[in-house]
Amino acid sequence: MNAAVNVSQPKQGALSNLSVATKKAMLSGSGLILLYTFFAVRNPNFLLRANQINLLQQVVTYSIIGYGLTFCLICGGTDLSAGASMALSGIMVVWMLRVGVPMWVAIPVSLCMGILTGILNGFTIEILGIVPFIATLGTQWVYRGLANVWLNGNPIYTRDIPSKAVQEAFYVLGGGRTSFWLPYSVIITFVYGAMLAVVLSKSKVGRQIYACGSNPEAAKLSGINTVGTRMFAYCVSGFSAALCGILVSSRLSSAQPTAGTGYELEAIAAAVLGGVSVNGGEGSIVNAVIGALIMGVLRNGLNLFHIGSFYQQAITGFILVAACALEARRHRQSA
Amino acid sequence: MDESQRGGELFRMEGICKSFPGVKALDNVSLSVNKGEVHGLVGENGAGKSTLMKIMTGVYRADAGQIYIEGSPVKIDSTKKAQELGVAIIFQELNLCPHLTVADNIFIGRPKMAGPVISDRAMHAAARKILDDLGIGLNTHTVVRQLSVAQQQMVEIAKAISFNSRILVLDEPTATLTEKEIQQLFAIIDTLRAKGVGMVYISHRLEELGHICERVSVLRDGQYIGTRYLKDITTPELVNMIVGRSMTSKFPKHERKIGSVALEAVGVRRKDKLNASRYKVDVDRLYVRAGEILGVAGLVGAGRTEIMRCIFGADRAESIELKLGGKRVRVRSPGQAIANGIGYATEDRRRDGLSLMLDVQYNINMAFLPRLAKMGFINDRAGLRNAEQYKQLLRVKTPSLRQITRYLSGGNQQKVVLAKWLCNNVRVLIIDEPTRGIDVGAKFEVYELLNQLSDSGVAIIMISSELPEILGMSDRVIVIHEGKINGELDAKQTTQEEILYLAAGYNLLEGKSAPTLNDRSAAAV
Repeated sequence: MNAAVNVSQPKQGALSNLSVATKKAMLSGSGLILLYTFFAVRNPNFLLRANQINLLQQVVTYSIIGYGLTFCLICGGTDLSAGASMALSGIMVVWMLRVGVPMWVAIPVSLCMGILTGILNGFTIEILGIVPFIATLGTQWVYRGLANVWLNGNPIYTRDIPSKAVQEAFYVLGGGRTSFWLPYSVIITFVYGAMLAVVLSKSKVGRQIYACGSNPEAAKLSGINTVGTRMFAYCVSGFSAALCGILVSSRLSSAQPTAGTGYELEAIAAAVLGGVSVNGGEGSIVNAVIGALIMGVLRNGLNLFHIGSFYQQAITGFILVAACALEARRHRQSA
Repeated sequence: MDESQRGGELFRMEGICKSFPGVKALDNVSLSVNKGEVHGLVGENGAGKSTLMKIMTGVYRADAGQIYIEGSPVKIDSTKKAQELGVAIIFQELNLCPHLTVADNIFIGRPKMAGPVISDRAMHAAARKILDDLGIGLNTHTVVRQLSVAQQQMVEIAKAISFNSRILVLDEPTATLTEKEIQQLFAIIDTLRAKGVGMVYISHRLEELGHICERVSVLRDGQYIGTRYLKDITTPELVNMIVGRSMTSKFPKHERKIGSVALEAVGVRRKDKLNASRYKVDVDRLYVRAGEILGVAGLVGAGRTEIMRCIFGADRAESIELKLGGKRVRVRSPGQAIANGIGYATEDRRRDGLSLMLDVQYNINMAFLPRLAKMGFINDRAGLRNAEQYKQLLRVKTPSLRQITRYLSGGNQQKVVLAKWLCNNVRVLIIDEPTRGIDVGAKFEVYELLNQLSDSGVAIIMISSELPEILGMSDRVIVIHEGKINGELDAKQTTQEEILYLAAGYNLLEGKSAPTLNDRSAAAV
């Protein structure tokens, strides 16, 4: 009987006690270290403080949108509307500041706007019963369209905010640095990520998100409110998009209807590179962060080597496919 | 079924050995099948049956040993080679394309051509001929998705035969079939036997072997234990060979103390999704008492599972009145059912019972989250304690609580499902096919667990397609036919025949005529 038990089990060892997502995080983490070391050794400018801060600021966008998408992917869905939702919230906050709404109102309202887009996504998916891919493709166009209609396709600038003090205060969020050079946006990203990581791994709704993505029917029959759980995940994604929109418009001192175009796809790519499964049920915030760092380091490093953005695109795509192929192979072997 | 009449040996495996890293899966195993013979192959889960069959069909290669077909040595080193040599397998989990027709499925990958285009007419004619030869009355134009499991299995068999297979492996072919469908399958097997096809028949249902097989071979822990003529061996002797220890009874003897009504469902109705003019669920009154095991019998598709899903709140019933311990309760979602002390261990643990990619601890605690959470956050240590306690209580064999559930054996997976409900202190446990696809030893453990539960006053509703299980475990039996309760029986007084009678829609009192074979297959579609 003992021999029989062993047949269907993989080899035992310390590693077997780690979750799949943790193993993936270790794998992609070592990839990240390799990549980082490579650039650090080959290009002296890479490790300069200015470049490192630049890198971190680039990573902020991927990370925050990536957090939201990680929630959606783990619960078995996806959110293609994140980039458009980000543009909408970015416009919202700058527009409100311009008409004189105080910052402590404008920012929460814009964040709520993000949650609203999440609720709408959840509604189309869970209540109207449209598959997430198509539903959020549709809402993406709705949000993007609304953003364009709102500003007639033109950007708005924070320099048009009546009060100079508000202009500066708003810039600090996304562009400001602490006395030890660390940008506030990086701190916000880190704190927000830590909060979401706790929600995902330690809260009831976090566990339910995994259960929904792993086996929706089993989750439902275990008394889990699957509709509400997925709704929550879409709201997290909408909220993250809004937060990202605010930080980006702050850093760029402007909001554009075309902001964030394609960010959702890059965030999905980053999450997958970091080890979040597109099939649901697997992944963590750590995976999302590692993925975002890989994307950021790659782009930053290639920039330093003066490799054109068209080549960069091709290289990023190649790495994504290669990483997934490796993962798929590993999966087949273990199955 | 004299051997000499059938032309002697067709297929032989000798001294087969196969090792996987760290474990010897097969050690010097032999098996021989004669022409027109149905050869039983039994053993507990993990005994090496599947590995042997995979070697036979070219999925794995043996480390040592030799295979002969009609006396000449052959090398089966790929599934394609196995196909060419006429060796085919019907897996327990069927592999058909649900959106294609019967004929498309039979000829998948090698359509009949008329010049450059596919000739549907030739293909359907060829499919018709194969089905007729086997005595299968399916329409070749039917889309496979609309067929019952039994009918899909027939399509699989027809597909295998279309490759001119001479050796057919049937892996637990009756696991999901009802008694009547089993008879139909046996008729097909008889047809194949008359054609001289040799068959290896894997099954956990020992009583079936006596009906269909001449000889049976037993594997245990990768070792070849022996081959016997079924007419020379008793069931206890066979069970002894399988488990390597004697088991006095398949069902633990038990006296039950039955209390008051724990759950009562009145007027449960739900329309049939496919045919709105009739009810899929139409139950006037169903009750179960504390400490009682209520057996629910009926054909697959009769609506047994659907009734339970309505009671559990997983499907919305058009009308339902539920009383728990005499008090009316509203259950509109599984969450509310669980809060009211009802648990539901599903029929197919892989499909809707477990999250296979998540670990054991996660699965055990899955329905327990509301009790582990404080202010929305999970108390990890309490979760670990809970999982550990129930792992030990149910003797779940797993290297750690962090083990991915997919890697556990069927019996241990079932224990995880049970643990998930037990830790919720359920007062009513609905359990759907509690021992499907798990081995003899694990079955016995599950039965003992159910007995312990009923001892502690839990009311158990047990759906089962295995009549000995219904008779051996239940106190009371209700038989479902077309969504209605077609009769209630005392388990100690009744017989398998009586249950089958009711399940077929025959009413014992009114003397309504029993439906014919064809009615059943029509009703399944």
